[in-house]
Amino acid sequence: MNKRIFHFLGIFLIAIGAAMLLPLFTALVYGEYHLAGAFILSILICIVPGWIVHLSYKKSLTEEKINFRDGYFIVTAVWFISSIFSAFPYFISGVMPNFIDAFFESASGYSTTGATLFTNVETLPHSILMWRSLTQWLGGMGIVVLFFAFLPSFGAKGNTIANAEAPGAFQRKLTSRYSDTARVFYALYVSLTLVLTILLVIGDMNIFDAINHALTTMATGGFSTRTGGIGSYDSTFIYIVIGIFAFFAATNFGLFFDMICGRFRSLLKDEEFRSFVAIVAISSILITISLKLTDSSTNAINDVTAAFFQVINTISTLGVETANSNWPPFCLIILALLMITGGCSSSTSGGIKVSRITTLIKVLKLDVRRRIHGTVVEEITYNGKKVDTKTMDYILSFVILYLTIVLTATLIICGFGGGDLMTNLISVLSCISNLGPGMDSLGLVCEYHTQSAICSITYAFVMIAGRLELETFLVIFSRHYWKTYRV
Amino acid sequence: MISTRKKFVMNIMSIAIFIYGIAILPSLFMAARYNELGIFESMAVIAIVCIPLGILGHKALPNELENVPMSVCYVTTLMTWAAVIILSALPYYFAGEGYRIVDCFFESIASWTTTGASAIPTESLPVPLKIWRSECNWMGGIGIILLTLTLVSKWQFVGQKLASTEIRGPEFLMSNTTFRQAYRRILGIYCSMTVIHYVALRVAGMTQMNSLLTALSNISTSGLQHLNNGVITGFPLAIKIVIVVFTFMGSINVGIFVLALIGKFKRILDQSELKMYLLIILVATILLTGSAMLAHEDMPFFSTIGNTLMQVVSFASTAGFIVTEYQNLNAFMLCVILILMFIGACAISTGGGLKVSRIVYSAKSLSNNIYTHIHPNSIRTETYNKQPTNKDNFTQSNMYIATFMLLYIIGGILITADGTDAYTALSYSQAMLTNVGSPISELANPGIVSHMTDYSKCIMCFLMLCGRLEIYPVMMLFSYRLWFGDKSKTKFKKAIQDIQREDK
Repeated sequence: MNKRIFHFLGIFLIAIGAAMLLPLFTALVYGEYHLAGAFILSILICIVPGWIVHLSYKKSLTEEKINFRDGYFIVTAVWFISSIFSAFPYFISGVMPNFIDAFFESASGYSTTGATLFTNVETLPHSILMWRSLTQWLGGMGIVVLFFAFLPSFGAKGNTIANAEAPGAFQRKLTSRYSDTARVFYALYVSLTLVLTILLVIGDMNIFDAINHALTTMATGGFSTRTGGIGSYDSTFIYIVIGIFAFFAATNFGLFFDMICGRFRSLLKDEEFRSFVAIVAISSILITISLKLTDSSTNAINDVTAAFFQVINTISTLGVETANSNWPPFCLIILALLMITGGCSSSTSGGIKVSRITTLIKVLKLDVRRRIHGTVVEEITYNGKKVDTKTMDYILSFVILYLTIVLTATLIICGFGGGDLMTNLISVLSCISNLGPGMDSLGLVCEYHTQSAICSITYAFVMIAGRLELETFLVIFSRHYWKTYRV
Repeated sequence: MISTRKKFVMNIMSIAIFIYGIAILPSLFMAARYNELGIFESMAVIAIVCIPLGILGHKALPNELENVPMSVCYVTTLMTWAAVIILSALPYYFAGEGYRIVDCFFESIASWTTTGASAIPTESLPVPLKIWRSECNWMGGIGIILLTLTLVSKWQFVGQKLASTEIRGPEFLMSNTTFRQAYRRILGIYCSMTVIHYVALRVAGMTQMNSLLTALSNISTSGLQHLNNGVITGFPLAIKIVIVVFTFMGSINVGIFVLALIGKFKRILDQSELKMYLLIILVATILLTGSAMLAHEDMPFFSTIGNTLMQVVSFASTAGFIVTEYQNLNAFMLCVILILMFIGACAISTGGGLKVSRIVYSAKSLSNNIYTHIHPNSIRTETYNKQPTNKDNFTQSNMYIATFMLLYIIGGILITADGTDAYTALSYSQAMLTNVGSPISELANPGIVSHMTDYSKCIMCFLMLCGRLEIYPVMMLFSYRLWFGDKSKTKFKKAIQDIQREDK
C-alpha cells in the first residue's frame, strides 16, 4: 500500500475537523453552549489522529507517486472516513443516541441523498442543522475535488483521482491544470450558493433557514430545517427560486464556465443539456395533463407549477418535501423514471445521468441498425466526439451494476427490515439516485427510521455507492485490486 | 410484380398458414366429438380455407432469394407471427360464445407467447378451444418459424439467419453439422418429451383430457390455466412432481439434450449456463425455505423445502403455476420471486425472461470491466463454456438487459395511464414481458386479466410479444430505415451520381 495515501488521509481528517468549526461557530452565535463542547470533542477526534498519521507518514513523501489505482482507494476511503467521523457530532451531542443511525445521517448528508432519521427536525439545535446542511454542501461538488482545488502541489495527478469521484461518464477538461478546473467549479458553486441565499432572504425566509436551504439546494441534497420541507413555507416565490436553482445545480458546471468565457452557443450545442431540457419539458407536460385529467377542478397554473417543481425536484435528485399529495400512479412512475435518470454529468445531482442515458439510446439505435443491415460501420458520437468501445462498455456495465446493486440491496432490506416490496424498492432506488425522501408526499413513504441497523448500514452503503457512481466503489472490493499480480 | 423479398416473406407466411390449418384439425375433431357445432363449423371453414391457401401460396410464390438480408428475416418473423396470431384469434371469436375481440386477441397472443395468462375464464371455455389453446402453447414454445423450417427442404443457410431472429437466447446450437439437422433434432426432442410427459401424467393418475392439455402446455412452460386456474396446491404429490420435472426439462437449453443424445456427457458438465441455472434455483430455494421456516417455526422441514423447490422451478422456468400456499408471503420472498422471474430460463428453451446465459455473459463483462479499471492496458481472453468467445456477445447481452428493463418501466407507465396503481402495473408489466403470466401482486389467482381494461390488455399483448420475440423484431417496427430506406444509402448514391456527372 502506498504510504502517500495515508498521508493524504491524515490531512483529510484535519480538514474534516476544520469544517466542524462552522457549526461550532453557529452554536456559539445561537447560545447553544452545551453543544459547543460536543463539537470541540468531535474536532479533536478528527484532528488528533489526523495529525499523528500526517506526521508519521510525512517522510514518505518523496518515495512514491500516487497512481490512478490508488485514486479509487483514496476516494472510497475518503467518503467512508468522512461519513464515519462526521457522525460524531450527532452521536456525542446526544441527538442521535445510536452511532449507526448517526452514520446513516452523515452518509445521507455527504452523498447528498437527504434521507433523514430525524422525525421532528424543528426541535434540533441550530448547530446540528448547520452541520447537516454543510455535509451536503461539501459532498455536492465532491470532497476530493475540493482538496485538489486548494492543495494543488499535492504531487499526484489530480485529474485521475478526481475522475474517480466526479459524476458522469464524460469528463471535460476546462483548463490546462486540473486544480484550476476544480477552483472554477468551486468558485461557481460558492457564488451560486450566495445568490440563492440572498434570493431566499428576499423571499421572506429567515437568514438561518435561507443559508441552510441554499447549501442543501445547490448540493441537490434536500435536507431542510423544517419537517414539512419547502412545502411548509407555502410561498410560490420560494418554490420557483428553489426550482430554478435546483435546475442550475443539475446542469453541467462546465457550461457555466463556457457562459462566463462568452461561449454562449455551447449551451445550445451541448447534447446533454438539450436532452435534459427536453426530458424536463416533456415530463412536466405529461404530468400536467395527467393532473388535469384526474381532477379538472384545480387551477391550471397551479398544476403547471406543481408539475414543474416536482419534475425538477426529482430529476435533480434534490428530493425536498413538498405539499403535494394524491397524485395519480402514472405521475408516480414517471417521477420514478426521472429519479433513475438524474441530472447532467459534472453537476451535483445523482442518478444514472442524462449523458449515459442518451449514449445508451444511441448504442441501442446502432444495435438495431446493425441487425437490419448486417455490418454497419458507423460511429457513435457525443458532442461531436467519437465514443470509443471502452466507454460504451463502461456505460453498459454501469447499468448492469446498477440493477444488481438495486436488487441485492432490496433483497437485504426486505429480509431484515420487513415492509412491503414496492416501498423498499423505491427507497433503495431513491438512495442509489441520492434523491432521499422525495416520493413521500406522493404516497410512497420511505420509512428509513423504522428499520433495523443492518438496513441503515445497507442504505448508507447504497447511498455512497450511488454518489461514487458504483464502479469506483466496487473496484476496491475486487480481489484483483488487492493482488495486482493476479491475472 | 412482387419483389423477390416480398415473395420470400409471403412464402414463409404461406407455410405458416398451412401449418396453422393442419394444427386446427385435432381441435376440429374434438369439436365434432363433443358436439360443439358452432365451433366445428367455424374451424372447418378455417381449415378448408387455410390449408389450400398455404399450399397455393408456397407454390405460387417460390423463393428466389439466395442471400437473405437480416432485415428481411426480422420482417419475416414479425409478419409470420402477426399472421398466425391474428388467425389463431379467429376460432375464439367465431365460437359463438360472445367473446370480445380484445379478449380473443389477448388469448391468442398469450398462448403463442407461452405466457399463460387468460382474459377468458377457463371454466367457461369449451373443450375444443381448450385444446386449441394448449396447441398454440405447444407451437409457441418451439416457435412457428422453426416449425416452418423443418418442413422446407431447401433453405439451410437462409434458415440459420431466420431462426436466429425467433429463437430465445443469444446463441444458436453449434453441436450439429447442419442446421437442418438441428431443427429436426429440436423438434424430435420436443415431441418425444411431450409424449413422455403425457404418459407420465397418465401413470400418475390424471384424466386423459387433463393429461393431454397439461402435456401440451406444460412442456412449453406456459403455466397450467386449465388446472384450477394454475393453482395446483391440492393435487396429488406424484402429479405435482411430474409437472415440475417436465417444466424444468422444458426450461433448460435444448443443446443439453442434443449433447446427451450424441453421448458427449463431459461437455454437459462444461455448460456454464446449466450450472448457473442450477445454482440460481438452489440459492432461491434456500433463501425462500429459510425465510418460511423463520416465519413459521412449526413447519415440517422436508415438505417445506420440497414445495419451495417446486415453486422456485415454476417461476424460474417462467411457467408461473402456484404450488405452495400464498397467504403469508413476506416482502423478502416476493423479492426473490421477482428476481427469479426477471432472470428466467435458459437460452434456446421454451422459457422466457432475460435468460440465464445473458446473466452469465453480463457477470463476465462486469468482472472484466472492473479488471480493466485496475489494469487498463490488459488484454484478456473471454471464455464461455470453456471456449473463447467474441466480446460483442457481452455488449449485446448487456444491451438486451438494459432494453428489457427500459421496456419494463415503459410498460408500467403505459399501464398506469388508465389509473391502475403503480405496484400492480409494474407487476403486470413484468409478468407479461417475462412471459410468466403470474404477476407478483396477484399470486392468489395467477394469470387472470379479465378485470383489466381493454387498453391495458393491448399494452400487455405488446409486452408479451416483445418478451417472446426478444424485443428486436418488435423494435424493428419503429425503425425508420427499415420501412423508408436508408438515408445514408441514398446520400451515397447521390454522391456517386454527382461524381459520374462531373466525369462526363
